[in-house]
Amino acid sequence: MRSAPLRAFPEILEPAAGPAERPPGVLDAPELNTLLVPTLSQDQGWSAVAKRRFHLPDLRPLLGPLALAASLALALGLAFGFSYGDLAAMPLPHHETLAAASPRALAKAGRKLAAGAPRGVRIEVDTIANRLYLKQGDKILRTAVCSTGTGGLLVDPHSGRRWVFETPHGVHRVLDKKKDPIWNKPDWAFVEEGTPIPKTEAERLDPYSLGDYALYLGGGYLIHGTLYQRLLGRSVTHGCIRLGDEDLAAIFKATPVGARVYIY
Amino acid sequence: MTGIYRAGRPPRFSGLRGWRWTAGRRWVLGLALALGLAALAALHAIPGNPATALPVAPPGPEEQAAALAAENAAAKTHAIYLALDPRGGQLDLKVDGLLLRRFRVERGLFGRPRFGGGGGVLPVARFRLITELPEPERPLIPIRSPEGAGAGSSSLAVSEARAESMAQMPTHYRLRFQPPLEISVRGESGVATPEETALDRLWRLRFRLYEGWQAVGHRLIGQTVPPRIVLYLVPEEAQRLFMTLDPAMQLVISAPPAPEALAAPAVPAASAAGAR
Repeated sequence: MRSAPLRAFPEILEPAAGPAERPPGVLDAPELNTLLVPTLSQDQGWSAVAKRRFHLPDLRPLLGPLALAASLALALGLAFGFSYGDLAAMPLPHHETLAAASPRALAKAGRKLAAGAPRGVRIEVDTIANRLYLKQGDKILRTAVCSTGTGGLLVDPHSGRRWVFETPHGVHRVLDKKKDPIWNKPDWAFVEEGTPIPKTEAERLDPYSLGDYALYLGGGYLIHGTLYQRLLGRSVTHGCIRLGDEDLAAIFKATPVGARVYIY
Repeated sequence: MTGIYRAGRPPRFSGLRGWRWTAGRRWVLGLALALGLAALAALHAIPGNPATALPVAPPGPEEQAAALAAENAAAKTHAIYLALDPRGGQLDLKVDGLLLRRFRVERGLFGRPRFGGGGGVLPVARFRLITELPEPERPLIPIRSPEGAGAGSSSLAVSEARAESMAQMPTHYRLRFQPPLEISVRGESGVATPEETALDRLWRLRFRLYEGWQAVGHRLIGQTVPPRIVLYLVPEEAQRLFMTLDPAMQLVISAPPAPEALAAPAVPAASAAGAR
């Protein structure tokens, strides 16, 4: 079946004198181009045109190696990847010495861990939810809505000094407690207000802004009251923790100096 | 039968020196590659380790000892740390041994590199975060004019800017620890009851491919491929976890005893009965 059309090719390419009679079922090139597949000659293809116009190298010889490289990369990625299982089935690290795994040693290690926790009341501050918890052991004694730092940046246009108003994460302690505290306003308070920084200490004192009570955490950070009660629950402060009057009074009374304050 | 004559047939090209790309060779090679890739893809598409469906044994005394030693060491630093309980599927934020906040893990996966590489079992139970956390975008606080609006209004604007930046926190991120461990956090909803189809697995193949190439890279430079933990949290929890992270934060693999072990009496029943 294949030999019949092959025999017809020379006759089409080099026709004998006069119109040759084609065998049935054999098409010549013009008919094929118009009816079936638009076959281009070697110098009419897009790559040939692009090559001539832009002096591009012939990339066709690279197609094979590129396909091989891509396939190899896929196969390597799949073969050297990770095999995943449920986290619960994860092999846990072992302790090297068997003595450490005895019931007595385990109980001792557990006691040691529990001993590190504070026995008295403690304060926990969730800076993202703007909540303050007064806790003792596993019990929550009081939950209060608070305000914490904006995380904003203040830049002094004159000196170029910068302040970041973030409530610091970590472990702190109540270093001091004061009733009717007076705020010794730092430089940034004047920079933010757009007023000149005073030269005397007396001009810095503000007896109203901190509310009725203040618990000092060190580094200039306090737990205090606020004039802006409507902003409680939002991150609006300069790093201090602001509370409503009632919550502040309760926490001031319940928290001794030295109590731990966990801010996260 | 129809014979076809192509007047301008392009010349055959050769890919490699001495190699002729014939139509037959192209087909055979293409078919072989396609079959190979399909087989590998199918390997990934079928469910992973069937052993994971079996009930998991509670942590033994040696595992508890390792976890307690690690947690004691972390608590001793008086810094906030993370405690991951693989058996219970919980990620806790703790300090001084106290629980501050629990992140609900919808689903957790543990991945180890194929072909061993020493990264299958965690060597220790305490790790330190080495991923450099990006500095959060800080809203600039406007300077008020002395006779301008009150403090509340500008603070509120900054607060709103902060809330916006919090909403833009990443839900998908990767945390690297030392000794080598990677935790991939994926904030995705609806993964608690995974009804993954083969198509889903194929879609997830893009992660697997990237991990595989990374593993090849590690091998090439002679490094151990670290094991990987994938934690699926709801997007808000993933963002929340990201905001809670501190530089060089510690991670402890905790192994609390099973609840029934805690409820059981410390003294064996026989000796308790014999005691006066």
